[in-house]
Amino acid sequence: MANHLDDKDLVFQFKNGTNKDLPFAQIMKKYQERLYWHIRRMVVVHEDAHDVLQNMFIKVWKNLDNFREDSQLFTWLYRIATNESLTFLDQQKKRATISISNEDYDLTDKIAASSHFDSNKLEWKLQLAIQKLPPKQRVVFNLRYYDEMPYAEMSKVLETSEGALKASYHHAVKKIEDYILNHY
Amino acid sequence: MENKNDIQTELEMLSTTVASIPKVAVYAVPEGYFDFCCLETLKIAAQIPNGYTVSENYFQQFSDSLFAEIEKSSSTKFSTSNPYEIPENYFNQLTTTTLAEIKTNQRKSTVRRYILRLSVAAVVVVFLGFGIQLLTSKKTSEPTTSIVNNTDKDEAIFNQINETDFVQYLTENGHDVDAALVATLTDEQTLPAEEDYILDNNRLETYLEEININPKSVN
Repeated sequence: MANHLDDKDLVFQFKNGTNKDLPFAQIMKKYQERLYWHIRRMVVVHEDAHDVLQNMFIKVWKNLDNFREDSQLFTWLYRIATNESLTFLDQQKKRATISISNEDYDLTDKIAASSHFDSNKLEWKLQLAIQKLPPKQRVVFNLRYYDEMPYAEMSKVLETSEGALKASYHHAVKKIEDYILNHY
Repeated sequence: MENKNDIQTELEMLSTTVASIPKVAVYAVPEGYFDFCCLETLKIAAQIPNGYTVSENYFQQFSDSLFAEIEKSSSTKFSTSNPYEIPENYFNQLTTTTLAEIKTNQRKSTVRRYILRLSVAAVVVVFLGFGIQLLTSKKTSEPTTSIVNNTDKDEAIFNQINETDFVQYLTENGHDVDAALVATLTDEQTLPAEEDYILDNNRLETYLEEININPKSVN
């Protein structure tokens, strides 16, 4: 909770201070790694994750002055990161649909192309199973499984009811379990 | 609020298989990425203005420079001066020459207008005369006052002619004597109405008998 108070101070300094760079750099340092991994698990490739993260922080810079602080900064940042990731994936899918190669945009291929990929290892199978989930279900699973986010917090980030999120997470876990058991 | 243990317990209840998978970072990140990422993003973000700003007195300077530019271009590139040459003192003489021209034209136009009026009058007279002649020739049965006077004289002369001479004249000239007699003897005023003799066959016969003409001889 102490972090939240710090966030308020940082936002205040950004809004009212003469030098915006310093509070913004502190916000970035504090959250960039967590947000990077949240994005990376969605888009898989590092370069794509970097682009999405950078665009996300540029949007934060542009809009932080208008941030109403109805929600915590942490929640707001996660919401922007999630939306940017989903938008990126949507654009990639559309590009793949209209491309001459006519190949589907499949993230499992990108996982398989990773340098350390080992299809026999459970952690890699888990990644393949996660990428088979629909994008929004994937977000719910990642936030719960990796970020250990409570449903109440997740509800604010995704602006969805806790019940719907719980159902989505349960479905996601079952699908992943089926995938792993079928590909063992 | 839920904690990490709650989340782990929930996962174990849902799937022991998934819960048993070790949470390791499988994706690689370039070394030192998180150090330079922040600086790089900051550089880009710092270049983005938080609002549109203009230099002091920008709008005053802009209007001044704009007017100066318009003035400059109007005297050089887009000059409004007339490219055509005019005779010396043209505009001074213009009034005098124009007035003189107007008077000459007025005189000419008066003569022309007089000739034109005469021509129109002549044409009207000719057309009128022709029209009257045409009208009188068509309406011979409609006597005018002078014609009525002449008819009275003709009638007096006509009454002096003997009926036998009249019949003889008509026969010699190849006319249908009976029809001519009917024509001379019938009077439009005493003739039965057309509707009457069409509806009643005897009406016309009765009338012809009244005027001493045998209908059978006429037919």
